[in-house]
Amino acid sequence: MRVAVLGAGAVGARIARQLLSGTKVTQIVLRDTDADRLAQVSKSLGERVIIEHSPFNSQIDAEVIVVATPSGTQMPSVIEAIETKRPVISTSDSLAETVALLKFASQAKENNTPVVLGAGFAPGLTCVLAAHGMSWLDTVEEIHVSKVGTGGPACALVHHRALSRISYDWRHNSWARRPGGSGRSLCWFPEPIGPQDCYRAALPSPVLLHHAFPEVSWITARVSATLRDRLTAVLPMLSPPHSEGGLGAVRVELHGQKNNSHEVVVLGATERPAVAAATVAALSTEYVINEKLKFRGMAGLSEIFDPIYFLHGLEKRGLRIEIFEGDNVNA
Amino acid sequence: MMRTIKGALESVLAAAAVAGVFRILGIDRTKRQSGGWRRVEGPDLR
Repeated sequence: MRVAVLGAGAVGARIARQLLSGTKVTQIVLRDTDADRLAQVSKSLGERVIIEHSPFNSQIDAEVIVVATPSGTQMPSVIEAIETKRPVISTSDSLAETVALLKFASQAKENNTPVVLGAGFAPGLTCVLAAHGMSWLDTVEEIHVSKVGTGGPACALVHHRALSRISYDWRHNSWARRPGGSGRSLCWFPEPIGPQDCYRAALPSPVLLHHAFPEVSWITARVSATLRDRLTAVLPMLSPPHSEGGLGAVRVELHGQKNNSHEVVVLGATERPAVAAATVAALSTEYVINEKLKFRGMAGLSEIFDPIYFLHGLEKRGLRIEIFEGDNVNA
Repeated sequence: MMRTIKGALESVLAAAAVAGVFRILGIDRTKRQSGGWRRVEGPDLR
């Protein structure tokens, strides 16, 4: 199987490496617009990788396409894959791009093409955790997602911009628009991250989770931020983003009913965001190749994959999933 | 002008003193979690 990985950044290069460690993928076409980055990445990859220095959306010779280009630039490649009926995995964590891509859901279904949206840390792992948590409860009323940390420079830029844009929370059958950077909430993440102040931001998780679980009445997403992050969010980034962020974490909190009593389930994970995103995207690609899908069409990870098998797969790849046990989880 | 600055500083110091007393007495408006994280494994993944 020949797989194209578009984008050789912090996530894309790792996806290529992880796919090469399996046996199903015989060849990888790794494409980027940055020649220096390609040269650097190609040193650590073997002979099964074809390096292509060309625009992302020019013609691709592959059976499956993984789009790991910066969020906001993924749409043309995903649409082209849908039109040519080739399975595609998108790592975009941009709210606007996710909403725009979901408009092509009917076309993906008509073409019988698997399109996996938000295959990353958050969204991505958070969607799988939410789907798994849902299975523990009889009914779920609330899902609250929060994340800490950023992957590569493109991810840091999305994080920076998201804090200055309008966030969308699903609340009581409508979308609640709130300014990014508002709504402080102290969230406890798995150690060593611990408690962090998190704020609303333009994040795609509520959109993907509402698509998967329309019956849930309250879905929110928050991101950790410092005072400086919030004050400078409306400005261009004052200093160039780091090549890769440090340790990050995600947390998914579900409120619901089990045996007629109110229950709260909190799941989380700690990892470097680019590493976790690449692991989720690579596993998603393998699931698509092996046809381990609930259906063929466009959806986030909570809809298209079985969460238990997917979490087993992540565990085998070293991603540690944790559950919080205690009181005042929503303090 | 100096009187205004002095008044503002006194207000800040008074607020800090009150906050300090609350903290010493263990009165904290932020609820703390009690519990901890454990790895999801075995029966949790069925």
